[in-house]
Amino acid sequence: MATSLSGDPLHWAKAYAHRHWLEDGLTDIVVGGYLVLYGILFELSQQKGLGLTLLFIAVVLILAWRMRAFIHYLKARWVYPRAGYMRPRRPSWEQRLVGSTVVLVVLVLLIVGLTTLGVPDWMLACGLTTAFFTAAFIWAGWRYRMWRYVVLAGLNALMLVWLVLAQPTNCRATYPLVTNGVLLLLAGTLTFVQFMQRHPLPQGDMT
Amino acid sequence: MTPSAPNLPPIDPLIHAPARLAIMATLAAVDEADFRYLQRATGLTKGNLSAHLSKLADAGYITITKTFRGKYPWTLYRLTPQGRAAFETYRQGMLEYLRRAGSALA
Repeated sequence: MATSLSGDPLHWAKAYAHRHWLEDGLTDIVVGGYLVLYGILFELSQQKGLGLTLLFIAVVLILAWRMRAFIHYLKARWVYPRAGYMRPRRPSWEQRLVGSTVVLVVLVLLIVGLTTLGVPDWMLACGLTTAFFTAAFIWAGWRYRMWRYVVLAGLNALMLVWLVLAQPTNCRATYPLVTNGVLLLLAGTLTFVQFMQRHPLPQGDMT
Repeated sequence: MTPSAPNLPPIDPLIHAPARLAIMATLAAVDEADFRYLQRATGLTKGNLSAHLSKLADAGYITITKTFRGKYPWTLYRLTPQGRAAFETYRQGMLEYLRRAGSALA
């Protein structure tokens, strides 16, 4: 580990912890699966009425709540014996509140601004979701120096260009959600296979 | 006229050693970690890492919890509140040194 006194070792250690959490691809697989399931349930709830809408909300909330524990369970089985275990530090309530508020305010301002400019609904739903994924993957690729996120950001940027050019008026927000879910599933599976090949199970104790 | 000694913050010699600084920074970034994670993150050998961890535990900066995962022994390490405070004081002290060095050279 580079602990140069000219830099802040804590920043390096935080980046290392984030990379360690993402390097095996399991998080991508779980989040990808969640997005696909979210898209399918959302579409079904739109067609089948209130009962399925409530089921959709319940399933989405419970899965989001238990997602971290599920990833931890998968990592305990395959990753920790090979690459070591760490439990990431959770942001404080204040940090989470500030982060959520900033995202919410930016989103509302963006929607209000685009609606005022006369951007059509399908573009708001489809284009804004694709733009969100593009920005999120660019941020993740830059922050964690992981090429698969840069590739995913590029694919989303291409989708955004296609949306602007082709203007598919029947495009719904769930389409980019499910597409990105499938992309994450594929990228995660590929990363996980590579991780397992590169990290054989060591012999002996786990200390 | 001799210049007076600048009022510089104290630097904890226990944390200042590069290997222990790497361990403290790694543990400060997470809630807890096992030996294999620390070894990968710091790049230290098993013996070296073990010796430095013992020194930090003796100083009360980290806690060592020995447990089992299946049939294998498993050791977990985490910073104590005292260790976290000592690391933050050290970090702020070093940043202050660098800030003053920067302004002196400018």
